[in-house]
Amino acid sequence: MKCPRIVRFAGLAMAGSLLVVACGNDNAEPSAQTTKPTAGATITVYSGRSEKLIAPVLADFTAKTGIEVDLRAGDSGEMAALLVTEGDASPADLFFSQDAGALGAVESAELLATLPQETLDMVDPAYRSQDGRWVATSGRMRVLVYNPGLTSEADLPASVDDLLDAKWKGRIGFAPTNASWQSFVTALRVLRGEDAARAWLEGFAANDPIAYEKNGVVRDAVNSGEVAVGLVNHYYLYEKILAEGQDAVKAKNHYFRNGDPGSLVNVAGVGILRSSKNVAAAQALVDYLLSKDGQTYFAEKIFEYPVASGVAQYDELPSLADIAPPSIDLSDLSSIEATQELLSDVGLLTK
Amino acid sequence: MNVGRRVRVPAPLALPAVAAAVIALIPAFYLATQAFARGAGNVWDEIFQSRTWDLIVRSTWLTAVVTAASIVVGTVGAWVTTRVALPGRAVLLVLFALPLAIPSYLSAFAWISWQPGLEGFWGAVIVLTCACYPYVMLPVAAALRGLDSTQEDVARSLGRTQRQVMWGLVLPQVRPSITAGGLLVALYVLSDFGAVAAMRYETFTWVIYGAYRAGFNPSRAAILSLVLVAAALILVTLESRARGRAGAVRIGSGVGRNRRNTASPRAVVGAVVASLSIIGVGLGVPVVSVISWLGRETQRSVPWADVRGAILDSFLIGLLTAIATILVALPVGIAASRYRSRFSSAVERSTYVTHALPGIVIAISVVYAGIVGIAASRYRSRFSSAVERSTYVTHALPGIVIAISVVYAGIRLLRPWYQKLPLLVLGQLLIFLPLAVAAIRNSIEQSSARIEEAAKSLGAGTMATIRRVTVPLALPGIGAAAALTMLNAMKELPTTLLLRPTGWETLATSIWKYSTVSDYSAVGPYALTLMIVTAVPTAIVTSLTVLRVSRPSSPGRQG
Repeated sequence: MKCPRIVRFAGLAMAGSLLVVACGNDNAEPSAQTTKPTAGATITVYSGRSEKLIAPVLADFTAKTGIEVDLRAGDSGEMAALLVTEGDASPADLFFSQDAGALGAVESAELLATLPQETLDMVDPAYRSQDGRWVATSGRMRVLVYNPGLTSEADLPASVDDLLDAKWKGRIGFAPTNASWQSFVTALRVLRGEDAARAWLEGFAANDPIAYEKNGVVRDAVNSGEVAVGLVNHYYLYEKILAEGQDAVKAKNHYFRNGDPGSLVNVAGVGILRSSKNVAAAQALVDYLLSKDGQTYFAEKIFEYPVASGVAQYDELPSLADIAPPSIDLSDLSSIEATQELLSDVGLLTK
Repeated sequence: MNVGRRVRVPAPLALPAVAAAVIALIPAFYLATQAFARGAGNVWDEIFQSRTWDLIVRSTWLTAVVTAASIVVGTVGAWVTTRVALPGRAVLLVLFALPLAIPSYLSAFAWISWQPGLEGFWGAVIVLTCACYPYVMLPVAAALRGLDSTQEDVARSLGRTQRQVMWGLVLPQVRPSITAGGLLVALYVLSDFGAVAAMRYETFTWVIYGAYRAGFNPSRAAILSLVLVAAALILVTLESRARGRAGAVRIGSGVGRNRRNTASPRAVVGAVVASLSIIGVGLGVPVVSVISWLGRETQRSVPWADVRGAILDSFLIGLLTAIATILVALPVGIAASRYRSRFSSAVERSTYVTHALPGIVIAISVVYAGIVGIAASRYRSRFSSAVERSTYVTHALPGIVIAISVVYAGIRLLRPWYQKLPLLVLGQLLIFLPLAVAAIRNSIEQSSARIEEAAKSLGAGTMATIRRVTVPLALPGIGAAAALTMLNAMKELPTTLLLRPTGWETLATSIWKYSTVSDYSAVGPYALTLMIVTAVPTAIVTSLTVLRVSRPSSPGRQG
């Protein structure tokens, strides 16, 4: 009863097709190429990535393969918790996570299937699971976003260690509960050991950094001059320029170089659920995301670093080779709970 | 007083009430299972950390201040709209209630984008008080309106001052309304994450969300949530003590006298100042802020088809949730207010627990809901009060915790309904049941049990009395409960995100979708639409809760 009514009212092509699927009909695939055996299949994707970011690339995938995608978007950690709670009964075929940590959590709950070697080989070994159960689709870098009106470029720190200098007291914004910040701290623990990481955090805490709810808020606080600099991911700046125009955005990105932990590259990635009954169709989506088309979307439309198929990054960004980010095993970044404990010990997670 | 009749709750009322209690206890069962899966030692380790205690202290402090502030603002609002001779008091009352239509995450963001300096404790107090004071104001206004002013006149004629009448006669009679509203406020503050996150005031819900989002650890979240369950049980117990023995005390109708409303210049000026402050802070800031986001939308066209689709999905989910919730809440409310006994109180509290069960439970509840409500309000016993209280527990839990509980139960027991409407409705019902129970109960308690006794003395059976007297008398309260549930379901986010049928977009999920990518000009149309659409059930709640309350006076001009 509800389905036809909603289809009638909701103009969205996607909502319409999804609802047709929800009604149990299967005649909704586009009339495009149906050469693959998987065409006409429907896969369910749980996504920690925002629907707004990935809906266009999924729509392209459906147009090219005839495979429909049911998307359920939420927070990566909540989606991982959802998958762990559902267990083998999960309706999901594929998990598209915002970060390696959530993929690692689902992997260690033994819910992910092993990916074929050809798929894994498309991506640098640094950006995939050691056990071959998930693979990165794009990367993002930690940067220092700064307000040129509040700090000269010459004063900008060369390393995160320089942020402990007293001249930054009360002038640094960060997002204590944000997963990317916690990944950075996790990288610090992994790269330098627990004691050195604790020492850095204590120095950072002593500098009275300002805590914000999330990266976007940190960026806005820097742009409005509330704080001089902020620890965020590289693409937040370009998102704001895209939404509000270059004129409205004063802030700029500053990159740490030469293996400094401050330029940690974290990835979004995908894994196929072991319980999936549509493995071939789910695999087709993984392959599409790593193809030239998929990678170009991530690079050009949402300003991320591509990880496969020889696609280059967005023009405004420095190349990864130029930055030389720290080399780290991304699966080591899953120990976020230990990071939270440490952060809470030094008084940076909760005040 | 119509309280304290130690009567056995009739079986047709007791069965659905018990069923409701069982369902409402499902999240608690899930939490206990998850929490103790790795042994009790693990539970103590997680809870007995200094950080946990710091956060409990911060949450307690915030809860106490917001509850106190809501009681003050709500009572002042109720007094202004019922006792002062102002023109357009009905409109004023609706305006006072409208902050109900604004989700706390939205108004928090509106405040911060206007006044970033407000972040922190006092910002959280302002936003949460604005979101919550209507839960005190509406029942108090209803109670004030229903009071028999003859009593006040008699007290005055016997030499009591106005102040003595207020503290000695009026306040004791509205005290149950104040404490019931205060309980809902306190539970809501404990569960809130959106406002405190935006205001950067770290409370206990931060660690629960952190356990999911950064720890990927549902069992740690479950352990921490047990603390909120315990806090809810304490609050519910405190409230039933504080409610006292006062009940609605007017005996019979038609003997009252027309009330003279205060028209003294001092009172009128005070009332106008209070009104402007309440409306400006609670309504003005968020509305102006959202409209300013909308202004940025001029470069792009508003996706009206999407907005329309979101309205429809929100409306349908809200409507179904309201219907289901009323059916479950009614028997609980009746039992708690009319059959006070250990039995009925236990039933009432357990219904708070039963809301985690899926459609079967809802169907059963639909049949028996009316019965439970009657049991809770007319058959007061330890049982009915326990049942009522169990329904309140879930209100202190963050939405994400309820959602995961429903996932846990649904994926195993109700697979065909998983991520379909019935399970989403169940999740929402669990969250908003206490609001419905409180509204129904409040409404029944304001009608005199003597009328039901008269019905029985004239030969009507227990169930016939409930059907033909209690329920019809409570109809405005039932309607208000339905509208209240609906407006809350329409703005609910965490449960909707996890449990909605694939492809459904409500106004709240659309706001979330664009705000996660910080696209506030795209958020604007959905935010404004949500406020406008939910304003309708808000006006209905107000009208049914307060304006329909029959005054004890005979017909005549109102002050």
